[in-house]
Amino acid sequence: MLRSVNSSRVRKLHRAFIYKDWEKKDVFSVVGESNIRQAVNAGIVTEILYVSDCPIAFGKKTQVTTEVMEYISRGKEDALVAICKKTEIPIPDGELHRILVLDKVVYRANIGRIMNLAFSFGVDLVYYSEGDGTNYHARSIVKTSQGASLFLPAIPANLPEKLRELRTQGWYIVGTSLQDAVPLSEIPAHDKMAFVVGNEHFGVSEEVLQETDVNCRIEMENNDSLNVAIATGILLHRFRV
Amino acid sequence: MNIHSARHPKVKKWKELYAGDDRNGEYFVTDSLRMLKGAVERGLLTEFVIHEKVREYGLFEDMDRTWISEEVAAEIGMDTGYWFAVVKKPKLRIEKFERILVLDNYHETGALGTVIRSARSFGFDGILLTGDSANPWYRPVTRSGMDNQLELPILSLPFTDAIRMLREQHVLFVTVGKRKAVPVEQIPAGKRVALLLSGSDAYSPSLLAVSDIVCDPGLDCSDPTVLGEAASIIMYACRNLKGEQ
Repeated sequence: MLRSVNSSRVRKLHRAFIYKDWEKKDVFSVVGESNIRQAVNAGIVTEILYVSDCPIAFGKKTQVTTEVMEYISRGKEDALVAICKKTEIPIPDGELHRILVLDKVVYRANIGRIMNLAFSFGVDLVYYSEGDGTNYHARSIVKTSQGASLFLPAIPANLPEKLRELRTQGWYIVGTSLQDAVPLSEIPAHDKMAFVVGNEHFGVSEEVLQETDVNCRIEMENNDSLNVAIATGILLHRFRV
Repeated sequence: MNIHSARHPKVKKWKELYAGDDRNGEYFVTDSLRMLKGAVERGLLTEFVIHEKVREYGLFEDMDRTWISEEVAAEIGMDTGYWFAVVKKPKLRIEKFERILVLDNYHETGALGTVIRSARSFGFDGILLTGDSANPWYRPVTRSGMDNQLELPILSLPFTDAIRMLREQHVLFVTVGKRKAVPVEQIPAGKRVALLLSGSDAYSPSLLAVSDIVCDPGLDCSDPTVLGEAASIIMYACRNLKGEQ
């Protein structure tokens, strides 16, 4: 049992889980029973820390005091924390059919919800703007994605370059913008489709829009935009596989 | 106007409105810029309250500002930003409808605003909130709802009353489920629809019992956090836009 916040192991865990310098760390934490179960299924859990009871069957489990858990978990009232190793999520074998491209989507709650939608509607992989500062291992993203972010590969990329490359490989690129837009219901399904959604305030950037084959608009009235996760859900549902 | 004392009679009411405790009152408080603009346009703004610590920045100079001290802000519990607006609720009624959304026990405040925005975007004529649902006029809901609450009627009433009222109108009841569910594209067009969703138990037996159609939006709705997305997918599928008629 880990009892003291002064022990070197506990201090090391505390440092590992604070947000600062997350890019340099090779571990991350997952909280919540259902998310931890997903992480166990994904084969990335190295140890589970628990306060009084651990309902999850796993080899290495360590009991900690409430005080230690609060210290590791930064004051949040978690009863279970899984220590996970960062591993590259493999791109699915075989031919891919759906790709989602996130152009500077920044709110973690939106990213998590979008990852869940993408996973549910058969997206094979996600590209996001390189250098946008998003930690896809953040607890809030894992939580709001219902664990989908542990299974769906998310790869940083120079998006205009990546979209050019995808187009040469036969992908049909669908942007979301009101610029020269076609109603969503009029866009035919293609075998290989990549969907681009953009920043919560500014939408898809001009340089990325230049690489799309078509821009779609979701038919609506009274408003000219929807929440980005909602719009992504409607778009992916329409072309689900 | 300046209010420096936490004992000023207005402060108690502001505190109540700020916390979203007075869901049935005549006024609400918002800190959404979009809602503020909407309220000004519709003549519903009654008071604009701003913290005196930002006085030197010359913000909102075109507004009739009430300046408050740190003591008053602390008493109210201001936790986001440095201003809020007290707005009169519009008097909206559901006269006749083609599409209506019923949200039962829907607690998620941010998601409620998003659903309100989607409902108005897809031509729904109103929302009925039943059970222990969130206050649609609570600040976080006004932020994510943009200013759509000012145009879309939202009524709170007991679940059984809502169902009885809708039954009398002979509408098609649609809910989400897995068993015997049809894709959302199979919701019949041209019929009056009431979409029923539960925030506490997505596959609620009481909703399934009264529904004519069970549809599957392709998401695991047992987690209420996805209900906003699920609702929007279904509302898009059975949208009723004037431009498309």
